[in-house]
Amino acid sequence: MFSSLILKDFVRRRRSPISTLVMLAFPFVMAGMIGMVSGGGGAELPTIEVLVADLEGGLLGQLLEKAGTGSGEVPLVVTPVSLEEGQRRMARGEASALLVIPEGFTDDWLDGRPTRLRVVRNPAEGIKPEIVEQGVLVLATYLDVAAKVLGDDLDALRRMVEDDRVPTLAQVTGLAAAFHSRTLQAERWLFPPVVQIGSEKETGGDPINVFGYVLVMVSVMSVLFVAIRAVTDLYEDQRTGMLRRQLSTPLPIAWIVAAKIVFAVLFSVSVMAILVAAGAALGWFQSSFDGLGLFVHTLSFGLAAAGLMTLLVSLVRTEKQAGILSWIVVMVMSVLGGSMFPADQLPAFAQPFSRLTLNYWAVEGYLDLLVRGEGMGAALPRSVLLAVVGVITALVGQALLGRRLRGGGLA
Amino acid sequence: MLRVEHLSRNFGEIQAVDDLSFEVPAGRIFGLLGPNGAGKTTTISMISGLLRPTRGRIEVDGIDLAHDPAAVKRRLGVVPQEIALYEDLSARENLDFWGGIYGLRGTALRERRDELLRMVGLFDRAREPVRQFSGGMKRRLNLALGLIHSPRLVLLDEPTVGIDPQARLNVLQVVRDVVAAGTTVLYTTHYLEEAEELCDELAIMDGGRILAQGSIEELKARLGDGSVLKVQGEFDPDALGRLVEEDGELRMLELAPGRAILNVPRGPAGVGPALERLYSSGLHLSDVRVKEPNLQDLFLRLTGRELRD
Repeated sequence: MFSSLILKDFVRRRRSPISTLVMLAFPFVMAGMIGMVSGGGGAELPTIEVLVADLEGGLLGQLLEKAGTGSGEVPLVVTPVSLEEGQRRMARGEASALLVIPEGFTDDWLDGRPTRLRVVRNPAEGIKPEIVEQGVLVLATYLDVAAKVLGDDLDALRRMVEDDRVPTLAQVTGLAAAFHSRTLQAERWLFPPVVQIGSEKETGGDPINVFGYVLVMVSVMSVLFVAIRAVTDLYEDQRTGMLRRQLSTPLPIAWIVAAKIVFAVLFSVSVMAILVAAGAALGWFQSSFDGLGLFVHTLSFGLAAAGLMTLLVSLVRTEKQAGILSWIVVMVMSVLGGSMFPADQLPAFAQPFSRLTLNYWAVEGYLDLLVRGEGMGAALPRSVLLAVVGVITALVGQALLGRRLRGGGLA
Repeated sequence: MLRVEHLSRNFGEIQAVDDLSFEVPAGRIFGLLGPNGAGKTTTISMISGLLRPTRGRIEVDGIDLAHDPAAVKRRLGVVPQEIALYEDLSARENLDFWGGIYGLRGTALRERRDELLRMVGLFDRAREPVRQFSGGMKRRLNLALGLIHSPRLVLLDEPTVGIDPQARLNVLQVVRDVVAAGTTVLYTTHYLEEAEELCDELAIMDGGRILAQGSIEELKARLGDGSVLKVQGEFDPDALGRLVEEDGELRMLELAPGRAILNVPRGPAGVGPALERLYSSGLHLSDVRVKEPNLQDLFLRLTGRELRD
């Protein structure tokens, strides 16, 4: 008898699959869009194409041209162009930025006169022009410091470079000695640098995949919507007369409500399992993960989703109220709990509220298991918390709904 | 099979059912006839355990509903007035679901399901989603769902509302077949012809009360052994009223401006002499019709108004 109630709901979902398919597709659409915008994960960094219009034909332009071969740590490709060609190509959006080195730049720099480098950004791109601009800012800072530290020796260097004759060994060693002396004098201020920038790659495990990360975040929200739909079926049954018909059978009211909750749990778990399996098949998660931990966490989350939605539905009187209330609750939980963007990106004052949402515990558990490559031990406390919340809310919701039905049904 | 004693139900100030008592022997069809709002559906709801009576007692197969509702519900098949089906499921799946609810499984379920599908003429369409069915087909399936577990007592609440004559005939035939197999039926309707045609015994309800109860013959006998005379014309209603009062043979069933319904005795002293007396009194009658008395006339006499659809 009990199983008939649950089986019927599964068959009905299979017969009218549109809403379920939408909830299944939604996380993939979001993960795909956000993943592509942010460059995905584990892939090579995109190449940054910079045009350099060197109006003076000096040392800096030559140095930049040699640096921008795209073969180093930073995938920078520098292409020397005339100012007109650079402007044309920028207008066509063919590069991330155009760096203009003005005529007389080197002379002004060496003579200590104010001068400026001009960067034209490609407005169609977000991050890459920013990287170029910040890079030029660093370069300008270096040049400024060098001019201040090396002083007259730079002038000697210029004369040596501009002289058509090959410099003598004495000139070269003299200049080197002068540079060494200047550097030693400034050593106290220059070394060690106050701020050092270091970078390292994660070792061990697969790199974090943005697609998988976003898929987990959005899937949790999607499953909550699925749970809403499953539980509010009670109202549809009431509207179509099916609930009244069920109540005229020997089935106890508690069974009817319990069957709906169990269906909501099983259906939520099924949807989440499909999402996880598809994400894994696409290679968006760690290549190996803790299957038992995943099962326990998914079951706990399904229970929590169904329980909370049952409680919400039991607190209102009409199908419309149930839909509005549960939708608002899911959206707020999704914003605070990490289904819209990572919870740690929230303002500090809002972060404690994340812990009050199902999304936070569910997302973090899935990220542990699927993205961060951790085992069941890491996710288990979150799973247990979800299961406890699920059991409590389901029991309270069932009691309230049962009382409502005994008192004459839903509105 | 069904015993209802002093059944009442209030909704606040409204007395939906007022002191209803009747008894339905096994294998019989008992009809509740009355207009919308008479209290028929409220009565069905109380018998099916959906609504708690304010007062009174219901007993099915010797079991008190208040003491053991589950045992009573196992014996009941309820066919609600509204069509209650899962439209995204097929007819088979709907029947399988309700059979499963009553604990039917395997071969027993399949055989009963197919038997009912044939009975209601849906066997060939059994795999189609119900949403593709016509209103009449849905009504027939609605009926079949209430019979899937072979209940001992079937409560049919206006099972022919809104369907075409052919589908109605099918529904009525199914009811007869079910009763022929030994099932007891409580049948509510506001269609007089259906009640006359189908029911062994009938209770005429209005305003939550039973106005008259008995077999069709017993109820008709309450109109007297006469014919019904319907007259229309331009006459003074008060004058006709006085004439009938003084006549002694005629009985007024309904009187309204321009029309009246009278009961006249059969035989030589019946319709002919009555018409002579009416014409000779100077009444201008433009249309006169004579017919056999029916439940409509009885309802009219009991309530002073017609039983309309």
